[in-house]
Amino acid sequence: MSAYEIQFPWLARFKDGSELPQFNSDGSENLFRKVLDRQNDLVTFQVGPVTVDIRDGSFIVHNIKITGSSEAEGFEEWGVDERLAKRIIYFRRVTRKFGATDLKEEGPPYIVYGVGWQATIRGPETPTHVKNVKHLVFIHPNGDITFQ
Amino acid sequence: MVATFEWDEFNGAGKTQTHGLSNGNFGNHDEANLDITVEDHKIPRGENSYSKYIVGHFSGSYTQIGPNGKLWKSAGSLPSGVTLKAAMTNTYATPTKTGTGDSDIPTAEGSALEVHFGATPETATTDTTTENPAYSAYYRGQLNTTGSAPTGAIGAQTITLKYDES
Repeated sequence: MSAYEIQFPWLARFKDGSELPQFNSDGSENLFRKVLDRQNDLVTFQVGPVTVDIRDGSFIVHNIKITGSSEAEGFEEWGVDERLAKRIIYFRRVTRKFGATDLKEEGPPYIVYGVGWQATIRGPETPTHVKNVKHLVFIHPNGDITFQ
Repeated sequence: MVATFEWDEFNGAGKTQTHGLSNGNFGNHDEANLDITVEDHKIPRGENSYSKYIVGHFSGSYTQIGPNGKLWKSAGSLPSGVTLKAAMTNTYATPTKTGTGDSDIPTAEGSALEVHFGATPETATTDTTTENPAYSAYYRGQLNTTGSAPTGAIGAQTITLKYDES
């Protein structure tokens, strides 16, 4: 059996001021499902050096605020306000290498953390025209950060 | 805590499941964890190995497995006269030496086999699953050889399995 250690635990903060960490003080774990269950109350979601502000869609990376364009009419060119309902994205992209014929794993898996949000935008004049906007940040094991 | 991963193999007409493979050697015998130092297990030149039905088995602590499941051969060169055939399938068949008819395993991520997930290998038909435990579809592999295949082991080859989990 093969597992790995979480390098960048997450921390969710909600409208009522409460926090939900991935790991409790007793070491027990909260699954990301608990965040999804309270998605409408989510304010920020932090993974290591990256915090997503689900209200305005901004990213805070090493204490620097970065805002992507919504690329949508009806919203500010830079930044997305609270009128736009956003869905949190979080995953770990796992890459495992094995011997092709013996299936022995060649070292520990390579884990990249993905965090961000996506939203479905309907045009104000053509509500049937639907566009998906997604902003993602990837955190690599060495701390490198890439945007998508 | 994260998802725990292991390879499982299915063998025989009874589809016997072996958990946590210690190896996935191809050979002249339908058996999990095949010892290829046994003479009868070596693949005669010009013949195929028995096909193998192997799955990724996920358990432990997670919310979702997938999407972005991919499998490909990422390193190593097979000697002349040896090819590794591979496919992902939801259908198990008793392993035989008859050629599977599958294509050569992809050697680039861009053309990787798409890996789906589900509660069983047979129902692993979607990009994501929240089932726990969860399985990939069957990775069906087979080594094909020609009469010019060299004697002995085929050298180091690497396959990469990539997927998202949360």
